[in-house]
Amino acid sequence: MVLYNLILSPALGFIIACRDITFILSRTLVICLKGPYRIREILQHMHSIGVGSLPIVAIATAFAGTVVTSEIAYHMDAALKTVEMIPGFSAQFVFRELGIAIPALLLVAKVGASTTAEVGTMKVTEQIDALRLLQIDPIEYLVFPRFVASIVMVAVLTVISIAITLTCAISVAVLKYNFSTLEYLNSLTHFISYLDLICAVIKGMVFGAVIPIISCFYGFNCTGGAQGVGTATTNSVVTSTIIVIVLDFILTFAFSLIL
Amino acid sequence: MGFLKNFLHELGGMYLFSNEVKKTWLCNLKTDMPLVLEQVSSVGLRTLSTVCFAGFFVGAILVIQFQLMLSQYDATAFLGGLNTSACIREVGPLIISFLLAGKVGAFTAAELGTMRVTEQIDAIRCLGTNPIQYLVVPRYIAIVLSSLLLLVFGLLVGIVGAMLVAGWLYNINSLQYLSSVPRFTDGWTVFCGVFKSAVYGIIVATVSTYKGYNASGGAKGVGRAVTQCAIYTNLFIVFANTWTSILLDAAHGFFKTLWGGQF
Repeated sequence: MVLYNLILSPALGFIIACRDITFILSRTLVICLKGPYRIREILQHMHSIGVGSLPIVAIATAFAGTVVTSEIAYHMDAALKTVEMIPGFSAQFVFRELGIAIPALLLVAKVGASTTAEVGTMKVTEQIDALRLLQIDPIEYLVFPRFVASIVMVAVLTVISIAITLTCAISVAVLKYNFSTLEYLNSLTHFISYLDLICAVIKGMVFGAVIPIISCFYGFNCTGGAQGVGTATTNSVVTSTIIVIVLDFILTFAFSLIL
Repeated sequence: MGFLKNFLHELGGMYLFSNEVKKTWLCNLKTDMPLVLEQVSSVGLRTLSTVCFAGFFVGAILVIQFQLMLSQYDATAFLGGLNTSACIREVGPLIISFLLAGKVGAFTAAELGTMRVTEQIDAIRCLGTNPIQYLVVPRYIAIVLSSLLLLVFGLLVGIVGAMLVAGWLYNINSLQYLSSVPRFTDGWTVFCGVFKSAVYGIIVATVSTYKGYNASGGAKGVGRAVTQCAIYTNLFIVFANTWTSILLDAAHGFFKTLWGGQF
């Protein structure tokens, strides 16, 4: 009994969750290939994900960008006894990690949690059963538009956040460490290539794909009124955060081999 | 403008709420201790495995990034020190507290929000008990204490994990990795990490209890409270990251001039 409670039951739950997530993902990909494409819904979700999250992402990444330069300067001063390398190192850190991870984690909280809350509320108020009754596939109607919108908009927000973070990093370098803007941008050309930007966009797209799938999975499996919605939202945020961190590790390693 | 107005409204509400919680706590210091300890153990045990997992991967990501940067200058001898310092001072607390915002903060908001919308909080008030004293104070104090412990533990796991990953991916010996650590880290670095962890813990506690306590409107309301709790916690943590960095930098400079380089 102890063995069952401690190991078998969680393992079984994990396997069932993996199966369900795989089912949702594969069904979504099939719809991506075959349609029907619900353009109106896609545009609506693009607006709510992209425009709705833009202020938060912009403010948060601006704050993160102000720290990165002084932090890199502190470490470079300790390691190499020089602050010449600030532009290259801070730009690399922004392009490869900071400008991608911070908005992704913020969007997990904002988009993921609100999606789970919305879908979960629909589930506990039996709206999803009503959809099935009307012969509308809930994955086609709820998951697919969010999936497409989230992939596009998270990639776009990643690029915007890189731009904002870099601007803040440059202004701190200019104001605090007496670099000129031209000097900074010049050294960028030595350290950053188009490949960095492409890798950043790919990372953003992968994180954008994770968010709606996981949050809709938890929304569909939500049971039991207000408490159920709260639990589902919590689990969705935690699981998506962990998956984003793990995928970030895997993709960072993969890209480090080609950069 | 609507966003800004909303934001300031929330900020003021959270300030007043946390003031009320602190006042209630200080008035009933002795009677609440068992409840607080119970909450600490429940929050800590529930979150420990997740935090360790995240800490390991944060350390691993940093190793890859710094290895990539430092190999351009043949300075990989500094990998260990640079990585440990960055993990403790900046990135570790930030990313792990994002996770705590979901695991601890959203959980508390969901719990309190459910109690609010099912009118359990009103029932407690009807029975003559102060719901803030009975429900909010133990959770608030427990979240602050346990986030501090969990973040410190997560940072330790991150450092050890980074060492293991460096050995595994880049064939850097553990001793070689650790040899540059004293050059970059000292007591002040650890203080920076712990101070930031404490600030983030207070943020998670304040936002989650405020959002949960003030939820309204059935299942949808609980969902909204949890979502807003997650957003505001993450946003405030990023703000706090910048301000604590500036503050700690200034304090470091101040102490350095005070004791003349010995610090």
